[in-house]
Amino acid sequence: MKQSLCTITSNLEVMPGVNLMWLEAPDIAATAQPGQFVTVRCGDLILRRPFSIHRVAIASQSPEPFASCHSEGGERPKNLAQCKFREGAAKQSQIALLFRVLGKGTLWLSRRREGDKIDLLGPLGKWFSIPSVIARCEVPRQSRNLLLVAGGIGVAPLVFLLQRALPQHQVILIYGASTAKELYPFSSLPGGVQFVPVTEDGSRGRKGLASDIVPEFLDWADQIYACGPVGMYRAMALTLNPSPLKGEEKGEGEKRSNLKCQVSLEVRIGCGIGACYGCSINTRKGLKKVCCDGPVFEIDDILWEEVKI
Amino acid sequence: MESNSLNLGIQLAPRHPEGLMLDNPVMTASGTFGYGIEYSELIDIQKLGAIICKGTTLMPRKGNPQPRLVETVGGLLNSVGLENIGVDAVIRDKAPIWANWRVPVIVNIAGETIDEYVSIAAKLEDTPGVSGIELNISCPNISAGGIEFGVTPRLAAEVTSAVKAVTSFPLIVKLSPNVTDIKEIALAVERAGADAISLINTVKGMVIDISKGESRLESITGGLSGPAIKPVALYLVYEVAKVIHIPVIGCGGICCAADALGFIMAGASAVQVGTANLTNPHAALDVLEGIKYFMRDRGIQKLTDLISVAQA
Repeated sequence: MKQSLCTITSNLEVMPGVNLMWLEAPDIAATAQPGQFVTVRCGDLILRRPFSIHRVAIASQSPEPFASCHSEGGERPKNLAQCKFREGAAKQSQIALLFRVLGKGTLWLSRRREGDKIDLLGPLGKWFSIPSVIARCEVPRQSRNLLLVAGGIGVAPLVFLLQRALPQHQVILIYGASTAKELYPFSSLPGGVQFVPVTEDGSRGRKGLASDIVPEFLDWADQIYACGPVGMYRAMALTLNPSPLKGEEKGEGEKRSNLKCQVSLEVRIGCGIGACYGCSINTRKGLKKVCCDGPVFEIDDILWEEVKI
Repeated sequence: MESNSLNLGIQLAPRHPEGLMLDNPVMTASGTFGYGIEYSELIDIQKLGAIICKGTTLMPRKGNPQPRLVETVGGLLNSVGLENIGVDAVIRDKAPIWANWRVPVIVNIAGETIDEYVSIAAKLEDTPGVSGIELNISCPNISAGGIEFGVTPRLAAEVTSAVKAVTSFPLIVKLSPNVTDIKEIALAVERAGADAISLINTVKGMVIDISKGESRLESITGGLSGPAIKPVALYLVYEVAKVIHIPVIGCGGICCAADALGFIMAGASAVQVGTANLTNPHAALDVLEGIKYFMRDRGIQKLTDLISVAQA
């Protein structure tokens, strides 16, 4: 964890209302884990804004995992090629942030230009882990099959997870968005991942919500990772383990699945380091600070009926 | 004492037998700096004048439901609701760490009855690592029907003298701005034995989400902090410093050295940096460096020479 002024190497709109920003951040890049975040001081605003680390590119590493990616039939967005981290050109390790322009902070950030320096603090928080699978009557084994579920801009930390999980793991990414235009350009994602696009209007892939099709993959998956709106988590929590939603006393007997599902929560963050207690939530394991005990939590630990974000 | 002959030292508790001498006047405000430990990886906390820890109650408290924070123009509205680990855990888990620090740590305490305040102070007595107590009197007093201790001179004095009677630590009392006449309360607290007064605590406020037709905070109202309240805080420091004879610690929206120097010139002997710690973890140390720069630039050797220079 470090506070530093980082130089923007590119900042471009890659989807309508969504920017991809690359920054020289060698200290953060060196230690960041998928699921961790940084906070950015945005102009005169009082609260730093949290952003999941979307990708990391280590300057000395070769080849950069995304260098080998191929277009998967989708239209290649013109901005993305320019925005992509170029291994040869970079002297310092970089991180990327993917953010939807929604309020004052992200508007300010979207207006920063290449060469501008911004104040970053990170990497912060707990990250996604890939634990062993412990099934009944079986010796624990390494997890092979990872199911990633992204809702909208929630794809941001999951791309970093993909980057780290490949090629040791098989990965399926279910990716839901309102319409085809809002889907993160597939061409910029690495090969070796099976994408399952879902759009609310059916303009690309399956029609519906990402959470609708999660049940189809439960037999395949060893681990599930999700990032998206709370409604998506609620639906998934119900799919995976209906009993806790009906009350503690029902116990675990009704569990439909022993699958572990890790989700990334977003609440308004104050300090980002566990000092101000602005982001505390009540969980099945007691009070937890989203900024430092999270943002990654196990889906079963969250009291979804209480979560108000 | 600075090697280059600048003297930023300040005695915060001149009435106290042992006193509370700070190397410099820049402290961190309660609730924005955790237990200090959280920031130790980011900044050299030992350079601070003092750290005021998170508000501490007799029993652990869960605080308020989310959302607890709302950003406003130049400010931050919070209703954390005093979530904290309780005094026993502070003594057991935090104080032993503080005991190895050079920077003094002052424990901010809060209670709903006088007995609670007294019990917390009694438990803290003689705890190594603790250098003082700051009394948060902005809590609702259950036995007085939910009225805050800090809003009547009588209640403020009662809780101050009751705590003073059981503690040998220097005692700072932190005043609420949400009162009719803060000077009366300051005078009452001074008479009741406070060693210093800090002000201001947050200003009560709220924000409505018009799309939902409800408050943005789950607990409806909150306390406003940050630059938005600075002129209010500065004025109240100015007013209180006029009438009392114990040190005043200025707090409220201080983000930079110029802000801090304004409070010192208005009559504060020291300052607390609060919300700015969230915006910039280096804020308090930047304030300290800026004060030194100003003093060198103006040829001022003793910080105490700047206190109250703006008092009429």
